[in-house]
Amino acid sequence: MTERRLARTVRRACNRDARAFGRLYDEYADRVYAFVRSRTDSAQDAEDITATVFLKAWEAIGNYDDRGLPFAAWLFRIARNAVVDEYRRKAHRPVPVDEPIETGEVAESTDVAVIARADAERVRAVVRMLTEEQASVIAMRFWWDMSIKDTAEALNKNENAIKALQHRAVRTLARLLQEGEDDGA
Amino acid sequence: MVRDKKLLTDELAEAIGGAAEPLSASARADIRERVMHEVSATSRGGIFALASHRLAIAGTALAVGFGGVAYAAERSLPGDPLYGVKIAAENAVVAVLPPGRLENRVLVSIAARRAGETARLAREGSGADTIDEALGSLRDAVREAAPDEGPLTTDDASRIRQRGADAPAETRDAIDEAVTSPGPAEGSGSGGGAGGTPNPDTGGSPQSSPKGTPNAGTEDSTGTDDPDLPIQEQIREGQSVSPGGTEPLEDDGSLDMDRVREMDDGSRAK
Repeated sequence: MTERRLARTVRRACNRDARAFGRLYDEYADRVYAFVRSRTDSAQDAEDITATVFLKAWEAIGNYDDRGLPFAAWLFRIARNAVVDEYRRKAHRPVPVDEPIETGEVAESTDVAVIARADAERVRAVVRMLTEEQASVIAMRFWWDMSIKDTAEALNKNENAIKALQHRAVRTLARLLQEGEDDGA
Repeated sequence: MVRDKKLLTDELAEAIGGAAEPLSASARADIRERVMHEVSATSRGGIFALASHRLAIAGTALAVGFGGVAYAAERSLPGDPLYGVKIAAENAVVAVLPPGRLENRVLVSIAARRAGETARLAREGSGADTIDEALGSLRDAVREAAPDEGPLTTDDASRIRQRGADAPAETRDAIDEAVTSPGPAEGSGSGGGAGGTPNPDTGGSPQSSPKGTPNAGTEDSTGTDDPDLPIQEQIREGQSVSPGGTEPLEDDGSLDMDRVREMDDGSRAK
């Protein structure tokens, strides 16, 4: 969907236009699901939460202001909150918190190479092991194609913080994948 | 060096981007149905459509005597009290359609309806403002019906034009023009803001009720020169009141819901 069309569709959805909202679902369902699935244990849970995300978005969209938060960032926040709510509701898994991870500027090309040669299933498994913020950044940057700026807005952080978070996330991802390789996984 | 970073970022995007867990087509459709069921019931058009439908059902028995609320709605023109029922019914149908061929056909039929309404208004001697508004609605509907990638197909465009073919020459030309060049999509420039549905842009002043009707255009186009059928009944009861045919939409723009379901099932099965 082009940016113009997206803007128009969002405006219509804000006016309780169901069809426009359906278009937004079509546009974002995969992204929402990809993120939610990376934070849940089962596909069924992820599907239920994805439905919840869109229903919450529909409830709230009347108050969305397209001059404020970009739509993707706004929707991502809803998805993130829905995931956290689910953690709390089920209470079978602690809400991951950011743990300090070494931030040394190690050669990124090595990390990229490790990630590139891992298969998708393995990458997904490792993304599940990231902290909530790191996984959010990975999802927004690489699955939602959001800019650093929009990602920063969604997480209420500044752009440098997002760059650092992304760096840490990628480093951790590569490290965990590498460990898996070393263990012969 | 910056380039190297950019390259690395691209590689990273490819490596991680490809790892996103895909949502299966069936799960996607199921979730959509769950969500849209709720959404269409609480949408601007949905509430109205539901209410009016209840009315239509309750009035079914009376309809014989009174001519049918729904039937009258289908024939209503902009400004008629029942015009909103007609548009709401269209919206309720369109809201639950999955994207694809079926959706496209419904949208083209709705645009054809708008053309028919414009022609009828002109034939009945409506004022220039009313006709301009109807043309604006037609442009909206044409833009809605056009695929994301480009303009309407020749067949779709001629199908819409055909519905306005019996308008007086001047209006017919205006209809042709609206179908050929509906104008910039959202341009309607003005008003962004909390915005209403962008309206016709072009010459047209923003409609009296800009936020109103989703999709198919303003709530101010109406009428049909054809004996349109009670769309609510078809929507809610899944009955086709329309004569048979292989298209989901009759020439008069009414929907054959049996056919719609058939096509929908077909496209899901893919």
